[in-house]
Amino acid sequence: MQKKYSWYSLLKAGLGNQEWDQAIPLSKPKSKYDVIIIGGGGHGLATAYYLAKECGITNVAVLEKGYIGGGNTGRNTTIIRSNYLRDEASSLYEHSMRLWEGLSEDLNFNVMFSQRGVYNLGHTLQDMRDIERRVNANVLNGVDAVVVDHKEIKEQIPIINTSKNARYPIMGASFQARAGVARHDGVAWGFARAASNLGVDIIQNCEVIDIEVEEGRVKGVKTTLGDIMSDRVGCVSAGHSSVVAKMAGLRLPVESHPLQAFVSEAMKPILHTVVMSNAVHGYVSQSDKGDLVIGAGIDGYNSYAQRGSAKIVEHCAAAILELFPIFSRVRMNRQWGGIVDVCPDACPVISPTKIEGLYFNCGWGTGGFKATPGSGNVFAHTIAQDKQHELAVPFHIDRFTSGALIDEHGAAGVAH
Amino acid sequence: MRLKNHKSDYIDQSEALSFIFNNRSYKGYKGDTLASALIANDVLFFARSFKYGRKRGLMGSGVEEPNALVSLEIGGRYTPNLKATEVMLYDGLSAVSSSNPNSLDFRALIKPLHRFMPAGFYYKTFIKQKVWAMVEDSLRALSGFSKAPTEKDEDLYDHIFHHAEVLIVGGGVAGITAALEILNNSKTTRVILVDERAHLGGELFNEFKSDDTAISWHHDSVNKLLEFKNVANSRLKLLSRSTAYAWYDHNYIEVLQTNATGESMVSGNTQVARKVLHKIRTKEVILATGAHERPMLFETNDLANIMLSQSVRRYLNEFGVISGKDVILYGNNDSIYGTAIDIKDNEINCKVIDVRASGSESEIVLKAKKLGIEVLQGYAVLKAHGTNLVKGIEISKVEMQGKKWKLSGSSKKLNCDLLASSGGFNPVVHLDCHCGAKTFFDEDSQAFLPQKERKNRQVCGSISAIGFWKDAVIDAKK
Amino acid sequence: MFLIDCPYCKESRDQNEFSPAGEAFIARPQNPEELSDDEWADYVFYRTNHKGDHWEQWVHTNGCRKFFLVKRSTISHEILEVAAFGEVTSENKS
Ligand SMILES: Cc1cc2nc3c(=O)[nH]c(=O)nc-3n(C[C@H](O)[C@H](O)[C@H](O)COP(=O)(O)OP(=O)(O)OC[C@H]3O[C@@H](n4cnc5c(N)ncnc54)[C@H](O)[C@@H]3O)c2cc1C
Ligand SMILES: [Zn+2]
Repeated sequence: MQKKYSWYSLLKAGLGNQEWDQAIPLSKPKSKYDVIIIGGGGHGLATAYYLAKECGITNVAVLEKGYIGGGNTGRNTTIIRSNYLRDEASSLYEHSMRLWEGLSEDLNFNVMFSQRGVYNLGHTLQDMRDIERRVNANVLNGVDAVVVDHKEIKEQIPIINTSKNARYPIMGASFQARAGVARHDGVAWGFARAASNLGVDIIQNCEVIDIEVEEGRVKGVKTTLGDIMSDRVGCVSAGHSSVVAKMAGLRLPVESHPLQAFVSEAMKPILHTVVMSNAVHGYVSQSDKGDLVIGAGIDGYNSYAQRGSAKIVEHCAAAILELFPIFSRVRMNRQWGGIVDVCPDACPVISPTKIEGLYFNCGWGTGGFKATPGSGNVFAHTIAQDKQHELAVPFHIDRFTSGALIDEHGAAGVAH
Repeated sequence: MRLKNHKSDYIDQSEALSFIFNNRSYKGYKGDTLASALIANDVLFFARSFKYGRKRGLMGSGVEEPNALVSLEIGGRYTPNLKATEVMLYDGLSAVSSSNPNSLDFRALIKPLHRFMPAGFYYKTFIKQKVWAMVEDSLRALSGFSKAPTEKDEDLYDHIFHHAEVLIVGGGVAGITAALEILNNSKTTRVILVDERAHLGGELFNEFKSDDTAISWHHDSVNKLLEFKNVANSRLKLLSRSTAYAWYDHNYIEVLQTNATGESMVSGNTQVARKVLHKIRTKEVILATGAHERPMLFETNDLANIMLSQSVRRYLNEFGVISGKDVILYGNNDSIYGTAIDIKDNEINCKVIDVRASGSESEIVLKAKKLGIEVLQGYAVLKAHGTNLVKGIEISKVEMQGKKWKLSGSSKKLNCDLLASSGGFNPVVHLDCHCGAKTFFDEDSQAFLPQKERKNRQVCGSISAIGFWKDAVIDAKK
Repeated sequence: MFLIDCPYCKESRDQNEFSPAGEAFIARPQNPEELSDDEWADYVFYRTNHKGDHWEQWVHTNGCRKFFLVKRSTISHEILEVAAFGEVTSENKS
């Protein structure tokens, strides 16, 4: 049986009986844990991993109502970047970016983090002013970013339509070279495998149906697999955050919306980078397998149904064709929706709550995949020390009371 | 090869069409798909497999085809990744395989190393970020099927809104019956009937050879439908070559129709839309989407000329073509006998291997035996032989012990150049699931069936595991 | 793609004509000066975001341009009730 992944173990297994350790053992819940994490998406699994690895807490359970990575983690378009406008946000996303850069090695699992660069296009003078401002802010914060003009875009991406006669002509873009994409399922599996190697129980098909609170302190959770005790519970349930909050009698500044994406059939490489546009609203990259991965915008209504409206998809396809007319005859293969938890300032909540021992990590909305390692990391420390990690401090839920919002609607304008 | 003396209503032998596939020219007829025309020309390899570059032949005859991916035309009409089984032939068509089966492919060389390439190979390797960054682009170049287009699309597209009381998806026996039933019983109901194929009838064509009532039923029913259609202010819309691909909330369904001149507008009038998107809002949806055959499983079942039984039957009956002279049918249900009888009827050698033990045979089994078709009952295929093309198979007697199959006796070899299998049918439930419906597993049919009750939705025909066409008619009348 | 009955136009129209306008029955504070910061936060930012039958507002943007109330399941998307403002209130809603 081979456990560690390496060329050596590949050779050994190949010459031997070709058997491998089960990557992620399936666990049954114990009656008590030091920490319970609700939600087996990337963020929940990363939280458990860093709790075990950096905080010395290994008696941890991740409770997932379906299968791990079956939520937004397995449904997103995997764009990773850290070029956010505000100091608070860019520090957090840059922390995450640094973790991405060593993640495969850290997890002993290739999550296929691919730094193929991201272009955020500007189509109007105002777009370009915003881009300049954001790039300047990024540079001051030590985040790599440059402004490029339409000529350079055309040189780098010959298939893009930079014609002046386009309905929304491309004037320029911000470009982050260290940005890119990763293999979404791989991220969930990599964190789950590494966490369970450190002793974390990953429990699937286990829905939390109630949270036990006594005298302002959390006591444990009721699940479809029975009651589990713990005096520390971290909620990382993305689109279902308000539902989980309600179990503890809380309300959140969050609304759940459908967000859709689709992929084409696999083709030989044609697009080597990631292109996003706020103005026409679409974003596209080509996966290693060869499919175009295309993301749309949210529907304006609340929903838990993991499906959205046809018009959103149609609009997005039109936007992509505006940028890349040559994709017109490419056939789309699959289409789906996720439920994203949107905060009023387009920034997450990483925070303790009024209930002692109950923490929330939510509100990542349309763009939390890029934050997966960073979010898990700061949330683990927040839970372990019962004190917000330094980078998480601005993301306290009280900012909605104090008014200290972190408005990232500009940088997060397009869903990604 | 194309069968001599074969009559089909859908192949117009008077009109020969020339086309090019992988740089060689061939001839086919009006009514052919690219796939059937190539079978007629004895072309058996269509593509290569994704990982080891193994040569692949056809497996199916329609939308279910997994192997025969081709790209069509060049320049502003270049279209990647079409299924040869879905491309209708037109004069001057030019196509290439998404991965050429005739050229050298070095991927085949890595096959012996498969022991070292377990599932999840890429998760286990290139774990250092720097190394991954170095190799990723070369690995990318290996994947993907067709080349991407490079030029702007030359053709036009359109969309149309429709409102109807009933939308019927699937124009086979069940769909036709349902449409007639509704039109006959109401004076106001507006009906839209959509089907993926060029002609109404679905799988019924396969019965024409052996069942004259099927022909007359089809003829009468289609005529009745046309009567409803060819009147002023008709309540019936027929959309052929049209795929219902998305079912959104509140019975909003999108259907994509391909122009009658085919996937490419090369020979057509450029002022006509290549594709039309039909945006349909309806009160009721009737799903008559039928079922897809599933294959039997055995070692090396990916060789070329190992196909689905119903597809072989369709190629034979609808297009008059077959890709072998020495055919073995293999399966676990009666449908293989229908195929065998049709093949035998064309004076082609065939044998049947049925995993089910002898005893309590149905009529069609007895009929096949009576026609002199050799039938081996209680046998399973263990393995197929051949380098790229199937040359023979290894079979053994099997028995069900408890819930497990057990081999009994020694294995023996049989020669064949075409193996057609049927492992039962999977109802096409996909559309039903778009809007939150669930499937359930039905022990009797060993298949996932659509959720029984659903608001404003009915199902009929083989989507609910009804096999025989006359039963589907009865089912649809309900 | 919803089909929505506008209670003013009295017609079933495609979702394309409408825009969603958030959770219903969020009452404007009567005495804003007296509100605590927490109450303000709750009024401005916090939402029920209910999973299940949910009262919300829509506006017939490309029609009569009036706002109205819709009770819709956020699980199945089925619309259970529509009403003009005043017809249904937070007190008498079902
Ligand atoms: C179409 C789409 C495109 C996107 N594109 C991008 C992008 O390009 N870049 C980017 O950075 N972000 C993107 N995002 C956002 C990103 O996917 C999310 O922010 C991120 O994946 C959230 O991770 P998570 O682990 O918090 O959530 P999830 O992966 O959704 O995990 C939450 C888990 O909690 C579980 N759960 C919920 N309730 C319970 C309960 N009661 N008991 C037990 N378990 C429960 C759920 O089943 C789920 O598995 C996109 C999202 C979507 C939908
Ligand atoms: Zn109105």
